[in-house]
Amino acid sequence: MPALLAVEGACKTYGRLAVTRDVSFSVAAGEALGVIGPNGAGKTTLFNLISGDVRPDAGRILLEDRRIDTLAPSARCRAGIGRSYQIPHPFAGMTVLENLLVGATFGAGVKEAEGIERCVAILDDTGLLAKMNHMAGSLTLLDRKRLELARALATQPRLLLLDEIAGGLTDLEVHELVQTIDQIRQSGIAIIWIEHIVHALMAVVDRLIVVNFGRIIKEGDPSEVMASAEVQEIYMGMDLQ
Amino acid sequence: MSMDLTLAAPAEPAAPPAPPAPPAYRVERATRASRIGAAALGLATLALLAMPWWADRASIRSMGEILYVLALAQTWNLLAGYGGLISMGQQAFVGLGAYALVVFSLKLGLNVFLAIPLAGLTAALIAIPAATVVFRLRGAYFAVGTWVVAEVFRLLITNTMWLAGGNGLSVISALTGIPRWWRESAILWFAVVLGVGSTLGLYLVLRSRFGLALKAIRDSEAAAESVGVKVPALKWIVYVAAAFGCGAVGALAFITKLRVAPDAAFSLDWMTTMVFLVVIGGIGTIEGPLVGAAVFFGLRWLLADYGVVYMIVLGALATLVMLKMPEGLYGFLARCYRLDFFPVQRRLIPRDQGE
Repeated sequence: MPALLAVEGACKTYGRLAVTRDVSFSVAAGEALGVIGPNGAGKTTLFNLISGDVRPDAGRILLEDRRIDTLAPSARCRAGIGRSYQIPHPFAGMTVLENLLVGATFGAGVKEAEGIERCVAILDDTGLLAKMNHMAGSLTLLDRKRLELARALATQPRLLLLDEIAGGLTDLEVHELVQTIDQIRQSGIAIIWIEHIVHALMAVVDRLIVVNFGRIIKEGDPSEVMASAEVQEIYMGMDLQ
Repeated sequence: MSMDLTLAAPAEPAAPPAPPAPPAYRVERATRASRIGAAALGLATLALLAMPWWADRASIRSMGEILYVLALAQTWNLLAGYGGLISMGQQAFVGLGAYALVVFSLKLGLNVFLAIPLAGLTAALIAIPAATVVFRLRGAYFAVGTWVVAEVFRLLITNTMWLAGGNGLSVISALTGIPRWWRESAILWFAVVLGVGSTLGLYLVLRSRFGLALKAIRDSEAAAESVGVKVPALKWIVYVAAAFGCGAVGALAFITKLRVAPDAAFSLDWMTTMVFLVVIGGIGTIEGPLVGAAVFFGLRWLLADYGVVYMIVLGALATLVMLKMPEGLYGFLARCYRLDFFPVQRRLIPRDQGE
């Protein structure tokens, strides 16, 4: 299958700290890729490089063979990359519906009337329909996380970047969110999902990559990766000999 | 590839395809308060325009000032409240507007009132290169940078002998051919156009597609950019539009003041007044600057006989509001009483519910 997104030799350094070191990987259309790794491993920076919040020092990023690493984040969104932030960034002074409408009109480029119909469908799928007229600033954490997801979907992405969307939620809430994300995946949208709650990730992703000290240290089938010695070392702290 | 989520909705047993339903929602954008607001604004505008027939000269003059200061405040509200651009150098464009008045009316012999829109255009044109400089700066550096740019313009004009340098010059000769009643009425009408126009303009802009993006930028720049809003381009438009407003006000203000000099035209007082009105009233709301103007000019009228006490009271009030109600007086009242005279939101109402 041709790659939807290809990251080739991406590097990012802050001062003397190399946060991303020669990272290469690709995602196929419709594929769900999980990203795990300890805190500070460079996972979010990887997302920022793809979404355009941060420019790489070296390397290339291609979306369907088109270079996107010099584009502004808004242009990458219009090209088909949607993202959620680890700490939700709702448009607090706007209604939930309007939050999505920004994505639908500017990201997906549809007219407002048409956008409203789409946004209502997305709100229904993400469990926010009852709160569509609420101010986004008044939402609970779960609903803010749902809103991050819904707003990214409103831009009609082909690739969705989810940054610890399940973090801070209860088990039941995580379960609900996993179902929603699985549905999104089944609709044909490719997903890259950073998550510490590994069981949530394992329920959805086709493939897993492990990042540590800015490098990809393991990549492959989720259960095999989780069972590997490298991952056990990182997560169980067994490298003390 | 299909991205339509409704197609991928839960795998229910295959049901017969539903007939295409009419849109189940209608968009509601007005509230009871907004109908009151619209009616009040319409009536107030008519009353203001008719002032030359029912008010005395002193009131007309004061109202003109209130309205053009309100216009200035709305431009800064747009800049800082929606665009996230905390400029401390808008006096640059007021001053450039004042000097555009000098050039167009005294030097080129155009009608002084025609000079008002031309002064706005001049300020907007100069804002374009100015933006390329100050937009390299962020946050507090942007604020300081804009202030420095204003000082640069002040010094440039102070050293331009063609514009009488630091002495300034009188624009009385450009007004001599116009009968007094017409002059005073036209000043008021232009002030109404700027004051009401800026408020109404902001309202209409915020209700539009463009306004959706502006409010998103106000709430989170990073998220706005991530959902496809071209944040830098929008900020640029906002900066240039605000410069237009300041330039037009600068020309109008100095038609009433009759004498243009660099220290008055590029005075920091323009800036502090704008900030006071917006912050006291409520930043990022359309009503805020209206409330701010009422408080500012109300206090000035009440304390007119007490000299410097007026400044002390203003300063104390500003400090108090910033500490106790950072959302401003209107913001505070709106939250307590759920007021919204200029609603810019879209609320979806199910169609089967009553109107």
